[in-house]
Amino acid sequence: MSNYQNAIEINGLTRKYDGFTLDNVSFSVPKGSIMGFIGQNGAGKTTTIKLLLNLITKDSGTIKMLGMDNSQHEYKIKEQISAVFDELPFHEVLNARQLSVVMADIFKEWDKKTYFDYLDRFSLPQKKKFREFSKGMKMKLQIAVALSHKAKLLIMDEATTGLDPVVRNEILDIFLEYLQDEENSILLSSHITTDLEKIADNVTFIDKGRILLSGNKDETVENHGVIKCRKAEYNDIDPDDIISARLTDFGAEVMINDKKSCQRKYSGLIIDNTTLEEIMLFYVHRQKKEWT
Amino acid sequence: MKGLLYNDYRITRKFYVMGFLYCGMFALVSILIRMSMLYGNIAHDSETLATMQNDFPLIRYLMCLIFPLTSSAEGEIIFADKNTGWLRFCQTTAVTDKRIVAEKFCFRFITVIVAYLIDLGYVVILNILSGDMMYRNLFKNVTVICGIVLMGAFFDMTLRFILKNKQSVTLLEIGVIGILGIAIVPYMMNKMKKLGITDEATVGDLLPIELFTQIKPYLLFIVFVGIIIVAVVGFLVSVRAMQRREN
Repeated sequence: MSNYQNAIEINGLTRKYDGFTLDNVSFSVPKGSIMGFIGQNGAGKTTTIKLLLNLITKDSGTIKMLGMDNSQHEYKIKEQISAVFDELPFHEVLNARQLSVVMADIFKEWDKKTYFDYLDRFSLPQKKKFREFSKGMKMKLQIAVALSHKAKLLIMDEATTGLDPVVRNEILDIFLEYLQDEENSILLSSHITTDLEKIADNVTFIDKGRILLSGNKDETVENHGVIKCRKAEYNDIDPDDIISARLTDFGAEVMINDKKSCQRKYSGLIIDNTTLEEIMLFYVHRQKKEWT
Repeated sequence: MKGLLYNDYRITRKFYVMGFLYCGMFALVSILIRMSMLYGNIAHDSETLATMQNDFPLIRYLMCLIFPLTSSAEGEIIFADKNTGWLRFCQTTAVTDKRIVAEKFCFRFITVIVAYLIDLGYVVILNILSGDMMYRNLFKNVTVICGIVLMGAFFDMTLRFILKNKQSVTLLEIGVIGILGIAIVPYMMNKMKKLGITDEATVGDLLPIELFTQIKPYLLFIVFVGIIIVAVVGFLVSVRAMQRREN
């Protein structure tokens, strides 16, 4: 039993590029949970993940993974984690059986039996070269590798992007199964919010390099709401309550972030439940406040 | 490290098979020519025989260069590793940058050693067929050539770790070879002129006499030290290049 509470703890993480800054990013992934890391393309998800994995250097801030500092204990941490990207990182002339020999050298805890069980379960051929695999098969292969060395933390960067719904669902089920062991955790970066809505315990929303929201997914969705009203009614809403508003010919859709208080305050208006996708959409336009 | 070596072996295997085929064809043809010179029709044409007898000692060492050249796929896969994301994948695991570089150098070393043994076997067979028993000279020449090939291989790999694209590596290598060529060619031309038709042209004969006379006793040692220096410097520079994180 490990003695850390958060599988990932990021504090004040900053990295500057020309034209983009990952600005003072802080969030944590509780042990035993799935954190959905959402944001548009170019919002800073991949940069954050690269910093977690020490693939790029940070300008400032601290990162703790599995209770250890990621700079000081880099290799100890990497022995216990798995990273999955949207592209297959293995040479395409190899086959799944040959890959097992390679992975046994890379991971101390490589479990050949688990790996071959996953291959069977995913119906992945053992002797077919990866160049003949479909995108879904390649992703399943990566996940089979990631789950076959007793990793305590999975970091997935857009891993379900571009997959058909059947394969995506199959993969999401595997993640839920993986989380049956409460020592295991997942950071799942995606812009497909429907996937995260299904399985994430927590969500962190990043936009233009800044964290806008981070917390329990259900609470986040419950606390937000959309008021659908006429333009005259929209003008009566306190601007402090508004994240942003979509104006249409018929009226306005207004995203608010404190549904209970707004229900009391604007009792004559109907506040609809919302989704992660809508929250993301309205937060992206928060600076303009009004958009069409 | 054996898994990483296995990975590279599986990727480059096709190229090595081709390398063996080219070498086998070259060896077969050259052995047949040699046998023909000694026992066949070519021996009846005294002019051709004289020319070929003089050229043959050089031809037999060409084999030493063919295998490493045809099997230079190991250098190519460093870029393939970068492009497929394999190096990035390794960096997300507990595999250290030193281990990645060491494996590449080790694999290249093994391939050149295998090539060296094949070359040596081939040259010995040719010598037996020719009735030439100067094995000491033979061993030395093959070792020197393979040593130089190994240094070149390590240098090439270092460039591939440092530079971002193949074109830069090729240009730099052409530059280095060009400089070496400019330095050596006038001496070689002069020497060839002076030699006229010789009984045996060895590696040493292609170098300026004065220089060669001085370094000849230490040639193997110089090559050995050269390999160590290029390997150590190349390794350290490559590891540094790997550790240099993305900007």
